[in-house]
Amino acid sequence: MEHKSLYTAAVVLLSIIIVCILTIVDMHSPNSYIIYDLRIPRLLGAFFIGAGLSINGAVFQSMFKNDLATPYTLGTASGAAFGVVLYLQMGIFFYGGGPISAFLGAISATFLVYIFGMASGGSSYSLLLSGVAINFFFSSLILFIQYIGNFALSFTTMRWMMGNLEIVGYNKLYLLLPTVIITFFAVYFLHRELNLWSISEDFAQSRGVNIKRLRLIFFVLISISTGILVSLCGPIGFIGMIVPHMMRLVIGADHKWLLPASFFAGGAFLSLSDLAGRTIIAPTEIPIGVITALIGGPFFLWLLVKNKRMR
Amino acid sequence: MTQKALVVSHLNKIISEEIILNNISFSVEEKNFCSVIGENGAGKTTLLRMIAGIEHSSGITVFGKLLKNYKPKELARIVSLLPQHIAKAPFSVMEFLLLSRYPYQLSYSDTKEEKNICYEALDIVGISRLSDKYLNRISGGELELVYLASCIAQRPKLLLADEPTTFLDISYKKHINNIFKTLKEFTTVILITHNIDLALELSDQIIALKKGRVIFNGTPDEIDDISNIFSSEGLSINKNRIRRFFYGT
Repeated sequence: MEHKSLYTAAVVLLSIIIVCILTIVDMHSPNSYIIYDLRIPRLLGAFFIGAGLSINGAVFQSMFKNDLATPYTLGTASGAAFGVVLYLQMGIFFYGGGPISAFLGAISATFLVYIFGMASGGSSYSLLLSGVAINFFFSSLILFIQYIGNFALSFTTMRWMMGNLEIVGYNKLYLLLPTVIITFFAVYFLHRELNLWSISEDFAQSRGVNIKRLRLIFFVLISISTGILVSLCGPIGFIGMIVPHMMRLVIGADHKWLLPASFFAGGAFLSLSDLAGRTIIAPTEIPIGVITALIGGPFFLWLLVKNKRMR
Repeated sequence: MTQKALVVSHLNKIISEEIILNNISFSVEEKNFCSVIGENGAGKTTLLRMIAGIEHSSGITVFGKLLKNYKPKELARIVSLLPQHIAKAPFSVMEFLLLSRYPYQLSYSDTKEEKNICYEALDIVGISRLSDKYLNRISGGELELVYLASCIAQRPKLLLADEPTTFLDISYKKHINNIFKTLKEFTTVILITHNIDLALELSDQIIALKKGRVIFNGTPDEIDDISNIFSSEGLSINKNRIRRFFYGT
């Protein structure tokens, strides 16, 4: 199978790069701090955040049978961001407060999208529309909280909202890596169900897929994953839309291949975007959310025009 | 003594305060061919979706077991639905048929055995040549045949088909009707159709629905007046009104 050899090549290449980095760098040189404590954690962070966002997007696109459906466009990310902003502004800090509040915000937004989407017909289009509305609603709530909240905290929040990959050391990775890896394998385990669901909900049900249970699993799983990713790096948009869509064009619609392809391509895309953000106007750093939105905005419009029949 | 493939008992369905199915009761013997006929909006598709387990129901028994007691995969090994509206998908025909084998697979499987079953299903409907083609690259008639093959690949004991020939040309209609003629010897079939001649020719049993109620349940020989089933109530044409609309006089 040609996909298999492609993945084997990718894994071998990745292993060679890692081994090279580990062997050529002198552990006792002054540069080792830069490599081990700054560059590698940041690269790993960017890679796994990109991979996670991409996987979340791929799942929502298949669930809603719509290329524009991602946790970002459907308000899940805004809900998570609202949770974090509320947590920050309240000034009550506790261990795990960020990810927990992000998850609560994300699951609330997803739940509202689902309730209103189903009440307005249940089609992927009505779900998407209610997602856009919920997205605006939570974005407005964030602005409102910032307006009435602490001024200094509002600046920090604003900077965080632009996307933030400033990862120093490995602390954030201890939460990030398990989240993304567990989400990936959980979703991959259900790739046949996603294949059937991507054809049509009725088709999947008539072939024995328990859609109600699967929907609940995905909503909770993707909300947890989005919540944790947003709490770590802010709401970085468009990756979840662009990467799975591109991979569909390259690899095809079979989730057996689409999910790993989205995982690696999402990781590579965010790593390269981060590289661009750090180097284009160095030493000033362009926030990662700005870079991805600059690429993603035109792409989003192109998709809208291309999919006009959908409306 | 033959087993009952399906028993529907006092089935009701209300959607948005509108009664779709009203106290429906009937049964279908195993290996019987049952046609469901009736006007548009009579509740035929809803009935089929309920039997397929897509819509919630109570009062349906399939092969001696209440529908709600089946697990989804278990039900899909017994009942297969050929839907009215079929969607094109970015899968090859073979990939699509392998997906229909989902109820039988413990893990993802494109083993030789599974593929052979799918080839056989394609062969039964006469389109094995299409196995490598993509669903979005084949004609509407071929797509209908692929969906029928995917139902056959499930090896169902009860095949439900919702107006499979409505949008097809005469050659595909004839071919699909011939397939159903052959299938009726091997599995129980419930077919929704507007083709009364086909229903009279193929069926062991005909059920007619009108406004959510069963108004006829019997053999083709027992139908005496088809006009009771298909009334044109409220569908009159007023030529003078059309003339006034176009010419104003």
